[in-house]
Amino acid sequence: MNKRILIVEDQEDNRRILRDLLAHTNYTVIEAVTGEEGVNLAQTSQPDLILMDIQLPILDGYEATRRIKAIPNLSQVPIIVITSYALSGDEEKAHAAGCDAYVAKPFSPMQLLSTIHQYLS
Amino acid sequence: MFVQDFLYSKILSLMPNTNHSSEVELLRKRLERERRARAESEAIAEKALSQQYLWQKEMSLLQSIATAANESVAADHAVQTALDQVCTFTGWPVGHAYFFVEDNCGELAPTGIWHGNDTDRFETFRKVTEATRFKEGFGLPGRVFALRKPVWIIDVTKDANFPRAKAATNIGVRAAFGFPVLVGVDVVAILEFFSDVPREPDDRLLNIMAHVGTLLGRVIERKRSQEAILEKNTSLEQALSEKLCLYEDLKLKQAELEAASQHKSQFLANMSHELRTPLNAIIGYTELILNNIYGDVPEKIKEILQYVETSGRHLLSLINDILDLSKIEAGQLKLSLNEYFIQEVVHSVITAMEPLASPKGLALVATLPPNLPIGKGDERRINQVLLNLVGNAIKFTEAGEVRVEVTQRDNEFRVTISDTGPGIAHEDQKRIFDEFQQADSSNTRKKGGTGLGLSIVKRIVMLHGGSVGMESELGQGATFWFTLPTCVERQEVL
Repeated sequence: MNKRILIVEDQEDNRRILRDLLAHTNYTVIEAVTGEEGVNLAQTSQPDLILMDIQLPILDGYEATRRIKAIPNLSQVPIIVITSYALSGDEEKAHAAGCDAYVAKPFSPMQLLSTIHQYLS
Repeated sequence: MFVQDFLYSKILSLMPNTNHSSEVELLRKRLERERRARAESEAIAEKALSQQYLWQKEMSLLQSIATAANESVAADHAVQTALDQVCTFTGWPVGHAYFFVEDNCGELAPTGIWHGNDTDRFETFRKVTEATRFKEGFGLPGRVFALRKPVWIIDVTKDANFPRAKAATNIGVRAAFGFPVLVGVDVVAILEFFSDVPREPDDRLLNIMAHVGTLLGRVIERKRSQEAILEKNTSLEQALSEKLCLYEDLKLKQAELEAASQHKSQFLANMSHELRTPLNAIIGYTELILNNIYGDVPEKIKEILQYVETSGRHLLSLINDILDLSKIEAGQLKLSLNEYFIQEVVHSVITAMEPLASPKGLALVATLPPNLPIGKGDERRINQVLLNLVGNAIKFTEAGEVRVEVTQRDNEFRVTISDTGPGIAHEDQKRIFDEFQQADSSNTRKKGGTGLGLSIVKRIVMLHGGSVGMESELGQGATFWFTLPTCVERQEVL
């Protein structure tokens, strides 16, 4: 069975890059547009990895990460946080929320793909 | 009756018919002599007594003028007091004061300071007086001014040098005297007094008046300096309050500036975020196309897309630099101080930069002594500094090598980056660490770069408490260096 990757990202452009990038792999892509939807989809679809944007409306990526990590059967799912805030302290905040890796926008899709491979191999 | 007179009549009554007439006559003469002597001494005593009385009167005049003048607030009041006291003392009905005009015209100007009970009677005289200025030597005040001594006029109506004679005649002003008020040797005022009958000069009175003049002079001098001090105080207070206003203004401005600076930083952070989002799409899609995610791409298009990607990354570095610089400017760049190994920083930079050096055939060399101590600082920022300097060296060097050397001495790392590039002219070296400066502005386009790198380098190093510098000769390469305290416990305020 293909491994499943949940993308939580509110912007269609960015979702499409990730979708296109992963379309040529064997991973199954599940998409969520809001933080809340992300948390719900994580519970129902039990993904193998989550790509989490930080700047999400209402429930931001930090909080969504925190909630997912608090769910017992999801706590081991790796979460890669993607942020375009390059302010110092963002990375610390992301790690504090419980994420496994941190990628700053604009990211290199190929590098991101190799990071994903690392976590799923 | 005196004892001698009594004795004398007694003797005469007791010896009416004696023949001792010659003896009696002798006695009578003696008594007569004694009586004269007694009368003389009585006269002397009486004179002394009246002198004593006059002296006391004079003393009390001087004392009362001194006291009243001291109590008066302004020089004018002191003069008024003196006029009143002298008129009371002399019984003369009119007194008036002139002030010396301090505007180089050397004239005495009349004042509105008068003593006179009968104002109606002296109205004309007063008007004439207040309309007349006197030069030295003219009229009564002019003469007092010239002599710097009291002057007496027995009868002004018969005086050749009394311009106000006509006005004086009509109202019966006759005798006059005036005396100067002296501050040191300078006449500051003249007081004049008039009697309604002619009077012979009174030297004793004039002598006292000279004293009054001197006394008044001292008081006026003191009052004037007090007034000057008061004026100075007032102007100082004014200056102080102006300064305080200015200070309040500045405080307000500073608060506004700080708020503006906060807004600016927030704006830049937001702008940076907004710029990165579309840039993410540009760089991301370009990379996906270049990796044939959307199918095979002809070489020609790949070449162009590589240019798009490079430009996108350049734009990204500009945004990063501007964000960094604005954070430093706003004092918001917080170093994250942790332990690090300087040799690891150097190696990671060499590894990262190798792909840029090798295509040009440049040797990238690191010289590190063994046993370097563990450092404490912001490793990511130090990495950024070294990346920038090594990147610059590679960018501007076409042949030869770029060398990174670390030494450690006196609790300080010294990192030197030397290249075999074209070197930098002396006139360009001064401002090379300033914003938007490159040695040769044409290089900005030719070699890329924002002109912000070195100013960020300088600030990051300074935040660590270190320093930066460079040495270069045209055609002989360039050497950039920076120092870092081995152990940075807190960041510096720039």
